[in-house]
Amino acid sequence: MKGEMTKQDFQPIGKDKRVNQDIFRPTISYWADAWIKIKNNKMALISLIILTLIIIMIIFGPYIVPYKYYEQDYDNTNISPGEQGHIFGTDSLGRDLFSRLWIGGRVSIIIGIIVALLSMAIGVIYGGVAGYFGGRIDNIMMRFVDVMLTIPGLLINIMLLIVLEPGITTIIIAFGITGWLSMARLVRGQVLQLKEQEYVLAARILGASNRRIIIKHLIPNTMGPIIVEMTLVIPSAIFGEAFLSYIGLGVRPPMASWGILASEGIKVMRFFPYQLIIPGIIISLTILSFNLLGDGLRDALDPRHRI
Amino acid sequence: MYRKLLTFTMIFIMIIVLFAGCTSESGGQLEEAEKVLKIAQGSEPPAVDPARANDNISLQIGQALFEGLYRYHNGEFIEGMAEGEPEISEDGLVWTFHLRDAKWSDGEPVTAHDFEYAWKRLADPETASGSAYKITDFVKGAMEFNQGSGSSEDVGVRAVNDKTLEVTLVSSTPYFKEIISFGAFSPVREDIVKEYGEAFAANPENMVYNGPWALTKWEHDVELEFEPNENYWNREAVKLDRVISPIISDYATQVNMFETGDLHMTILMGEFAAQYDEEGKAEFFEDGLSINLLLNRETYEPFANENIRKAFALAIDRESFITNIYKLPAIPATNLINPAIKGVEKTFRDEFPGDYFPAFDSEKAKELLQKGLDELGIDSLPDLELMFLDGGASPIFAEFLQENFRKTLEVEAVLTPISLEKRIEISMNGDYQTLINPTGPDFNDPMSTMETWITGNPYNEVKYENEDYDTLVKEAKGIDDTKKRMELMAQAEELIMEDMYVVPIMHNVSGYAISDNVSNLYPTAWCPDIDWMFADMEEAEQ
Amino acid sequence: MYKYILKRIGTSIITIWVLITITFLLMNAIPGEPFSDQRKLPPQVLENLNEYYGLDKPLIIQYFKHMGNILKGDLGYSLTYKTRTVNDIIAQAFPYSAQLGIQSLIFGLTLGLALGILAALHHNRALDYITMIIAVIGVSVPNFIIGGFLQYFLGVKYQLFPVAQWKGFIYTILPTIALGSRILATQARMMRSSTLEVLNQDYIKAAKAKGLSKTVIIGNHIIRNSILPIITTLGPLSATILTGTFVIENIFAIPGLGRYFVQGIQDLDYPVILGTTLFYGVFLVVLNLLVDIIYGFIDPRIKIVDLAGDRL
Repeated sequence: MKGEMTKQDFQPIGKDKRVNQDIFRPTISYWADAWIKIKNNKMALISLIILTLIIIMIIFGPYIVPYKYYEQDYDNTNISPGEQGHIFGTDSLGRDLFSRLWIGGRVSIIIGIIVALLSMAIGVIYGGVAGYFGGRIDNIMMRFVDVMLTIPGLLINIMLLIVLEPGITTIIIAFGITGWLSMARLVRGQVLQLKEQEYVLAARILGASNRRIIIKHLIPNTMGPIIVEMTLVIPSAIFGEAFLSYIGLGVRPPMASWGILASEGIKVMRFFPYQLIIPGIIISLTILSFNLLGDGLRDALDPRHRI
Repeated sequence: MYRKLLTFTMIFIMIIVLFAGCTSESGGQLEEAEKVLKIAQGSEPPAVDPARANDNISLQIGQALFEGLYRYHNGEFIEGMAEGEPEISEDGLVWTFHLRDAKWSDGEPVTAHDFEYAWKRLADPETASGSAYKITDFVKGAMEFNQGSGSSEDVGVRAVNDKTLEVTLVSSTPYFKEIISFGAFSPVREDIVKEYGEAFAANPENMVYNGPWALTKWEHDVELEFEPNENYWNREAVKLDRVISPIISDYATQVNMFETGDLHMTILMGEFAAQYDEEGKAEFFEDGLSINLLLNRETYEPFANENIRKAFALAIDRESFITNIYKLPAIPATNLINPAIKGVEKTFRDEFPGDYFPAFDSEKAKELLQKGLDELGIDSLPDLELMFLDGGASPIFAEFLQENFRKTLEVEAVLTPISLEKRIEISMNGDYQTLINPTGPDFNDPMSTMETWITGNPYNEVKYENEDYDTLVKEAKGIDDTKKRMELMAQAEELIMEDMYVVPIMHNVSGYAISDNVSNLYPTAWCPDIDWMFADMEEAEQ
Repeated sequence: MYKYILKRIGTSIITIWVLITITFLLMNAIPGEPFSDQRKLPPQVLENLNEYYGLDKPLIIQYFKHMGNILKGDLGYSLTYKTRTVNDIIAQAFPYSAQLGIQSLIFGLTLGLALGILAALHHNRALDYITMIIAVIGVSVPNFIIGGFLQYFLGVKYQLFPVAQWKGFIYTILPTIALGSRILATQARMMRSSTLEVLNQDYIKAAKAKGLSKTVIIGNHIIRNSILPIITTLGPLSATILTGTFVIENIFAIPGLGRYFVQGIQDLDYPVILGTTLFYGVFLVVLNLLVDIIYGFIDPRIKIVDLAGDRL
């Protein structure tokens, strides 16, 4: 019959073994892949742009205006934004808020970055060693971390700051001492997983030393979560500094920090709300951007996460 | 799904209702229209016990609950437990007081023995009272007792009989009546103290009252509640039905509560003061507080040089701070004695004006700085540690000073806030370079300030040593002729201002707002700092 | 199973011991300050000072004395409030903080979860955006700024709520919102994303094909699966709430432990600082212990593999 299909209508293509091996997705490196994913993530991209802008302002902002952050001008206290060359107005001592905001940003961001780096350095080594060697060593090392983690970090920070003089260095030390713990936990978890992978087994059979395996194979593959964790350490450092400054354990005048600006702003909020609103917006924007960026990075750096 | 949400919400609401039940409903209904005054305290009173009360709040409350021989009210020292004026011996050393018939809140009579017990307890080293110096400075034998070298029998306080108290002084003290109006000299019942020991006066049940008010409720750190003491000898003078005193440490919250009608009085500072002043609702008064800067030459060498010290004094733009930042009408101080202090007839400042240096002269300051540096042989001043108590306007004032010093004297000041504990410690070991020192006189006489700076006085924190000054002040202390005393002290003030180890900054003025319907409520420079004991209200509030 | 519980108890005891030791060391490390339970003497009695500060004994002996005191439950007298013991202060102030904390926790959790689910259901519509905005604010604005704002706008300006104190339920509303805002935000975000994920799963399509309404499905799957993770985060959440109370109690004049703690720091009232830190620490350790034990009973996986990843 006409519409019927017969055997002759079909022709086998055959099994071309080579075709099976072809990978139809172009080969790109892990990092390039991550970058593409980020670019496609609108929120993360916007956050990245905002953060870049903020960082640019932090670096160059204080030089744009002729006022230094510590210059007091008693005839011009509490001026509204936009008047007399003060872009963001002045505070109760007549100091320019534009300048102070960006100088304060330096303090907060620097604290955040250094703490993040410190946490990474210590945490990676500690967690890496624990995870890799496993067994008793891992047990003891992680017990210690667990114990330390149960004690609220802020309490320890406060006590440290009471003992040492409050200041940028002390804050960094205090946050650093409590910050590396979660990083260590994270890294150790990762390493525990990874070391069961086949390529590690292969490396070991080939005779690679423990050190080489840790450095060349394990750590680079944990970079993903580590970076994500680092981006999330920074906003919590900013938060922490703001909190400590509010209760009076922050940096010392005339230095400004975002925490100090916020607490001073709250004091005069009902009279000069801009003194709280402007720093509040910038602080919140920064924290939010880091959080969104962290989320985006987490998705981007996860090789299993496909768009 | 929504059913689950509904369950959630129901549980949520149930828990909330549970909590609503738990939270205490207090300070609620007024029975008939009562006259209830609501006045806040800035913090939980550390100790109401007369021998332990050392701060304004405890002392204020003490004046409501207890009453000494005399009390300060509306500008005068009026009779308290004492009836009439004291009899003073020829040489001014023996004072005899006659007590009126008065009762404690539990019905027991107030006797001279209660006074003798209280005063000796004040001096007793076991009590470890921070106000002990108030009695050891004046009453014979008290100093020795307090330091452990004498006994309580030798202290010059004696109950001759139930109604007569005889006091022997170290030296003639014309203003002794003012000294004993201070809360530490209130009578105390020996049996009550023995019964409660350490817990005496820690709660309303642990004490009895001889003052106009009784404490009915003390919810620690939340509020205090007072009702009139029915056994008070002058009960008719107490007009209000109740006083509620919530503890509000954030003064902006106090202002907020004043505006919503939850408080009848609030202190005003900074922007609030300016705003209320514009609306004509602020009142100001000289509170007797003076802010000085202390220069310690032992820890900061340049302070040994007179030109350097004067340079610091002139580098501070007092007017600017007061007008632009402080916003209370304080007085830039160019002299030492506070304007609230009495002189012969009027105030000391009225009779002896004394502007000893300009309130701000940065040119002159730079000149003197250069001279001083040359004399010292250095190019610039080393970093300076500036300490201040953490609270009120001190922090912002410290930043102000820091910038003034940087601009005019090119010296870096490092700001170090300190706690009250540390401040006490520093007063004992002198471990500071320069210190913002708000200070108030203990009694209404220039001597209170002048005697602090005598060589060797433990409170002489700058270790001022000037023989001529010492001579003048000691002479003024020993004579009775008020006019001569004042003249001598004026001369002494000139000397200490010349030497400038104590740099006067400003004489403070406090701001406050009081509800219109409240009368007879006085903030004062003395004890009590807020005199509400005999206040009245126009009509009862609903 | 019991081995697991015992192990956890053991770790908790060690943690508490470490906490006591660390705080003791830190308090003694403060330069120039004598650490003792005695009260400070007035300047007048300078000569007797040295006897009162029994600091001549070596550190080890002080440490054991300190341990002994703590085990006896003696935390000393406050230096600022000279007639009150630290135990008194904690006993009296903690209930306020506890109430505030629990209310905030419940507020944040329940509202956060509900909002998160609702937002996912109305994905990309009004409710979703509103929830996202609330979440953004809660996560990025420090809670004391939120508290200050609420107090001024809702309390003073529009007089909708009382400005301070803790005298009735309505007084607790503003502080609860301020304190719970962070939790509300994070929970809402998490619930929203996990709900969205689940919504895309195949078994949802299957269930829908079966005829179940979307909402019932979510209710059964999502809520049941989220209870477990919430219990695990209860520990860190409590820590967040706890530190949040420091500032919120200050702003709203609530006589809780957080306010005493901050005041103690500012006054350098060492017995109070020490006692409160210990109390908080022990409280959190015990809470974590309970959480772990409960979790042990609920999660069947625990029976085989210890939480820390080792084999039992």
